[in-house]
Amino acid sequence: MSFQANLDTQDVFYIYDGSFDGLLNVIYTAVYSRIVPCGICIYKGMQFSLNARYVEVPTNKNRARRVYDAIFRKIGSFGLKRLYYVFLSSAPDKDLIIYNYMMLGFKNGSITNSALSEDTVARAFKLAENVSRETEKFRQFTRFSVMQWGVQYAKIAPENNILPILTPFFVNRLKIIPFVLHDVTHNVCAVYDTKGWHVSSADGLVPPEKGSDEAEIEKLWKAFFDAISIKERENTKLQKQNMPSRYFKNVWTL
Amino acid sequence: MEKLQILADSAKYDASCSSSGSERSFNYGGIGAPTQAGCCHAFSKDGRCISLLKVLFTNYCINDCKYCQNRVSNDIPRASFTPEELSALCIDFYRRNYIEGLFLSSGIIKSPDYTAELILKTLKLLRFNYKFNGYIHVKGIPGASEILLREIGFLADRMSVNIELPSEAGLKMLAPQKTRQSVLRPMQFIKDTITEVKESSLTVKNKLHFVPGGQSTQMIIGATNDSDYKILSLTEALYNKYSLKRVYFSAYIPVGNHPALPKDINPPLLREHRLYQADWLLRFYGFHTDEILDENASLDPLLDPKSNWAMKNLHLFPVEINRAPYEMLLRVPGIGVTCAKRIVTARRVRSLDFEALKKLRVVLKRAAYFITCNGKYMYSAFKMDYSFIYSALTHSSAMLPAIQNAQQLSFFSNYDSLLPPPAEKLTSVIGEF
Repeated sequence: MSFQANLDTQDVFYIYDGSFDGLLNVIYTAVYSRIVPCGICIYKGMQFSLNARYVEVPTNKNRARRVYDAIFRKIGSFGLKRLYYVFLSSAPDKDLIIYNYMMLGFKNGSITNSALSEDTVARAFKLAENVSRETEKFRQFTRFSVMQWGVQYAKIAPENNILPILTPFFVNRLKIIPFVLHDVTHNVCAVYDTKGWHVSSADGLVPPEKGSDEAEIEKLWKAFFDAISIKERENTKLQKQNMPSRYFKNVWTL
Repeated sequence: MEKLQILADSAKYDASCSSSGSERSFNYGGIGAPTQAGCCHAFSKDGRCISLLKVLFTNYCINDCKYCQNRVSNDIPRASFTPEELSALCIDFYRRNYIEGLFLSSGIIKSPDYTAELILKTLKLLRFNYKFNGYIHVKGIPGASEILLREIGFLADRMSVNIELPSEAGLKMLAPQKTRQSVLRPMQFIKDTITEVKESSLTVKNKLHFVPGGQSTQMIIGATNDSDYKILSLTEALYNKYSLKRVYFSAYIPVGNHPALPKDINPPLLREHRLYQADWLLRFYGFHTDEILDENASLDPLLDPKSNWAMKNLHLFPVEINRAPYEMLLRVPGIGVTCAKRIVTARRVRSLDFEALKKLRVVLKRAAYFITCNGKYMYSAFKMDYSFIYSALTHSSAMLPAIQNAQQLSFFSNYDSLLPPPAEKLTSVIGEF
């Protein structure tokens, strides 16, 4: 079994293209080749180590689908959603956590989702919570500007790659208004044209000029914002706590 | 712009700014979608959530309520929106994601019915012209006809009628034009219509929605000398009798100089906070007023109401984390709905110890004194002793580390004799001497 010997001496790293389908292909390869990954990384910006073997996993839609269905069957939709949220997180070891979680899930079934005192599950739970909390914050604090031609544009700088779960919220609510949601941290943008939306790279994205009455509306909002506060109850510490400044890098209120 | 400032300034004493709890299957077709959980879009300088464009339609008023800054005898700048202005402004804010919807209240201009008609016109513009589908909260206009109230209710998500003061006597003194009956009548009407519409549309495919977000109310704390017990039992009665979604408390801020009003400058914010804590216990934790407070008592400023209850009922503790029913977990000070649910979920898989609780991110600062895991306290020094726990809870930050240190010291001292003295070990490694 030269195959086994190889395992002992060299750490195996899987490399994929950074998409969720790509990661599912890594899981597929790892499960069927029975080589436990030491790490899973994305092409972009990775560092190579000498004493390691790198396996490049091509992204295959069919295989991804099979893994996807397997997760759905064995770990359940709840677990699938949690894993997807973990995938969107910016933690460097998220891929390995997803792998470990799935292995636990394939073995133990959907009860895995409840095993919150298990290290892997606790970590996945925490990352998923972090992603959903940040999404919630950006639902609250994203501010659109109405640009020329009536397109709305907003710039956000989230830590996690939340566009895929943030955009449906605004699609559902703006409905008849096209918009562009620009994530400057990950250099991607979501584009909605009132019929459908997609997330793509933001290379070469030049936002149009602000519309003419934008300044007026912003002034109105500022006036409202100041007037609604009760002077006798002033508590700027609580305000800061509720609106951490990192969400306001691209927002002019406050 | 000045108008907006005046009318927002006049509306700021309404505590409610929630945008939650409204589910409509019906859709007006344009922009907007209410969210079940609500959404705060900003927080004003006083730290309160700004979820809705909270304005008065007008701050002209024919009433003379002593606690209200819009009373007719007060000399303040007055302004009034037109339905067109207000609905356009609301849409402009909404599409930029500044707000979640509209909170519309009003002073009484000319007559209650005239005011209600203006509000209805604004709502119709928003719903049918702009096809606005977001959240709308309308304050019931006291004295307006029920036909108008009903029509407004079909367009709004939530309605509220402020009860203002916890007792009839207080109302008589400070709001001569209002009586308890005049407040409760529209409340009853809204409640009855909600049930009526719900029942009648059970079998219909396109459901009608009358105030799908339910109704709420508000009372002022500290303007009269009503006890916390009285306030809380009234609150509970309102939840039970009128199925209100929320009762808001607002610490009294002096805006008038009537001799019947208290003169102190500081609004009773801590009292308001404790009342809200007790309110949460009523709504989400299965408590009753009689458990939280003795008759005519007030809430303890030092301890939160739940800890207070636990201190009075020490015989029910400690609670075994792995076995206690969910309802009992909820009654442990420091364990909330989220944590109790997490515990119930996780203990299905395996029994939990304190290490596991930390992984579930259960905050143990207060809870640690009231729980055991598999029969063990977090620290063996803990005991079910009133004065011990009371002093620990009231100076919890000072107490817990002291106990921790004591534990850690004793742990190491047990094994001290087994370890070689550190200095010796070091020299042997380096090889000198």
